[in-house]
Amino acid sequence: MTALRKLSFDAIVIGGGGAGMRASLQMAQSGFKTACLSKVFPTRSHTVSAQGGITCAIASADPHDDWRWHMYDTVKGSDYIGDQDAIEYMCSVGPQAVFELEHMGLPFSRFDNGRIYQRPFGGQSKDYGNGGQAARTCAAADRTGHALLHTLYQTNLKNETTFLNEWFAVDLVRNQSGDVVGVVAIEIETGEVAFVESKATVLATGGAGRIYASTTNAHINTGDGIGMALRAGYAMQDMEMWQFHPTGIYGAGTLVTEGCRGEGGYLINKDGERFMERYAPNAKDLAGRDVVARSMMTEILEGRGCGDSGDHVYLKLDHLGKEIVHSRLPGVTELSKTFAHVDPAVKPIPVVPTCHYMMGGIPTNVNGQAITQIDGKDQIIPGLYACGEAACVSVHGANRLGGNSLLDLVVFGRAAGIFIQEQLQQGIEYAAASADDVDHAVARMNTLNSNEKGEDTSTLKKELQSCMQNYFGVFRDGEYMKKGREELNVMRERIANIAIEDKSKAFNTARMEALELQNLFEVAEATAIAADERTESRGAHSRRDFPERDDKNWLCHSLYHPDSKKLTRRDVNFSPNTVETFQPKVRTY
Amino acid sequence: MDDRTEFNRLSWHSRRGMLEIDVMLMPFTQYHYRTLSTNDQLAYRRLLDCEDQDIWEWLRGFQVPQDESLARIVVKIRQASCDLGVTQADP
Ligand SMILES: Cc1cc2nc3c(=O)[nH]c(=O)nc-3n(C[C@H](O)[C@H](O)[C@H](O)COP(=O)(O)OP(=O)(O)OC[C@H]3O[C@@H](n4cnc5c(N)ncnc54)[C@H](O)[C@@H]3O)c2cc1C
Repeated sequence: MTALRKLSFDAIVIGGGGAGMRASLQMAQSGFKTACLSKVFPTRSHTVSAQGGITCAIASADPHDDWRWHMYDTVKGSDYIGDQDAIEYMCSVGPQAVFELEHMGLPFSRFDNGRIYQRPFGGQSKDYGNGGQAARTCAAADRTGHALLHTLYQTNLKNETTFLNEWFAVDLVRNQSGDVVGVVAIEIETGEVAFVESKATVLATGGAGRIYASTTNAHINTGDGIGMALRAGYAMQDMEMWQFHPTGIYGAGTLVTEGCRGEGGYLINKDGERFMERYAPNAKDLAGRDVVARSMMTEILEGRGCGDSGDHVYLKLDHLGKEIVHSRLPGVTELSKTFAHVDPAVKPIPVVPTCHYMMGGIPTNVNGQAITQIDGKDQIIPGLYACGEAACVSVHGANRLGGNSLLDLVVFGRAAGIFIQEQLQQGIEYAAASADDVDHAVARMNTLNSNEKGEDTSTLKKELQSCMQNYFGVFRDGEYMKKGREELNVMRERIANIAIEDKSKAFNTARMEALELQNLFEVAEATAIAADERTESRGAHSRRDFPERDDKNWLCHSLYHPDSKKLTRRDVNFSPNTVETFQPKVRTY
Repeated sequence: MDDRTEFNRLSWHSRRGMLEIDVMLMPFTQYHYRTLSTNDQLAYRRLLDCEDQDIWEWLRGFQVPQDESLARIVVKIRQASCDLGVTQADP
């Protein structure tokens, strides 16, 4: 066995993004010894990318706005497999969570009357879809995510959260009764490995968009928390549900905000036709993201794509005029010049649907408690919690609405914090982990360190990403997915046996990238199996061989079990506490 | 820190919170950093300590860093990204 340094906390949060820091703040504020552990400096977490804003019915743009309308939009957007109790909680508690941020000093943009600025985003309506487009996304210029991270970081410091910055979590530690009692992590600067022990372990490790070759996600989004949970044998929910953002810049993948379409931009095919008028006569370019992404792919596949290879479409902004483009969408001009080499005030931007967001993840209840299923029954996993993009609570169901992720982070980061704090106050006692229990969590890393013969990370990563891109992208098909699954089966062993040349300790990036790839693989496999076995089309999951939504068989969550590699069904919650159930309807925009 | 460790540190620190920055800094660290003068290397290391939002403002030409050596390295990174072309792939 290895004698590891041990650090002990009441609560440990893995992840210093918006979700993780909101959770750690809550617990630190109540005086518990709380640590926030992050592989990157917290304010460099992926949340910094969120430029659009945070959607919430704070009734600023429209004094009559109502969280129930937001709830309606979110349920509809989810294609009816979002849990209605969770969506109700998010939309109703949201305003309080947003005003708390305002009080912490988050510098929101303002209307002339001094109230928080809100902009329109896709999928937003007034009066349960009857009152036209709503403007519900609160913004701090085009740097909402950055502002959120800074506000939370500063407030955490004030409340004496311990930051373990540039620490890399490797695997969960469980005691003999199966309670999660902490993690094994590497201090990146020294390479030292430690057991970080805790009564509550919160996974807030964010998304995993890097499973695809083309994604808007930064390279750090490797699904480490999902990998850890899957290796511990826990089930994952709705992993087939990946959002493809309609407007990733062709080639680079970098995102052009939906705000462009909110401000009057629209998509055209090679004939210059505004094709969204055909697919979504009412909402047009502001229909749900899944609807827009599919319409774009259909244009491309039917030969109406742009460019020499006909493999993208254009986002047209030039009709808005230089003035508007530059004043309302300041970032877009430079973005487009840098990554597409066009000035959007003059020429349209080449765009293509690009992997953006993971709707699935670690199933939790509204308190952030992680859930697995044993013999078809929900079971709370003692000691384990999740929030943010890594979790599936589930408010996004089969398709997330723009701006709803940041709200999810702060509402459920806060909720998990509140619940854990109460649990800690009542007293939590778990048996300590034995040396063997800790060794178990170090095993994967030891194998990697000792492997002499094996393939290298970057080749394998490319293979994995192109397999996912080819077989599990916007459109899916049983026959192709079978091939994809076969490829993955072969890859598993190869990825488990990666060898790294560099065996040094300090800042060993090769080691971390290998560990990350192993996490990506777990996420990819869960995605592939869930996608293949959900034999219907719903939200972001779109199958050519099963083009219809099938409420009779699939109005439910999917649950992927890593040990058996089987998919089971889990009930969606249709019982909100204070409003009537929103019954499934055909989803049109 | 020995050379390899320092280079590894820079590689880790050029992975940022935004893909837009990744696709410019990661290849720059990989292919250009070692060819820079000592002064420019120093400036690059200082750049990596800055905030993502600032780096992003500079790299997209929205603002110019007040610090001259940072401004100089930003120009070099922008130039290198133009030359290499920007893609999704790992450097
Ligand atoms: C380009 C882009 C724009 C977006 N714009 C918006 C928007 O306008 N509005 C909106 O609502 N949503 C938006 N989203 C989605 C939203 O930004 C993300 O879903 C959200 O920020 C995720 O936050 P998080 O706290 O769950 O995780 P992250 O912010 O990704 O943080 C994850 C944290 O976990 C840590 N971590 C991960 N693995 C490990 C490990 N092994 N060991 C230790 N630490 C680890 C990381 O260091 C990091 O601190 C956007 C997404 C993208 C890609």
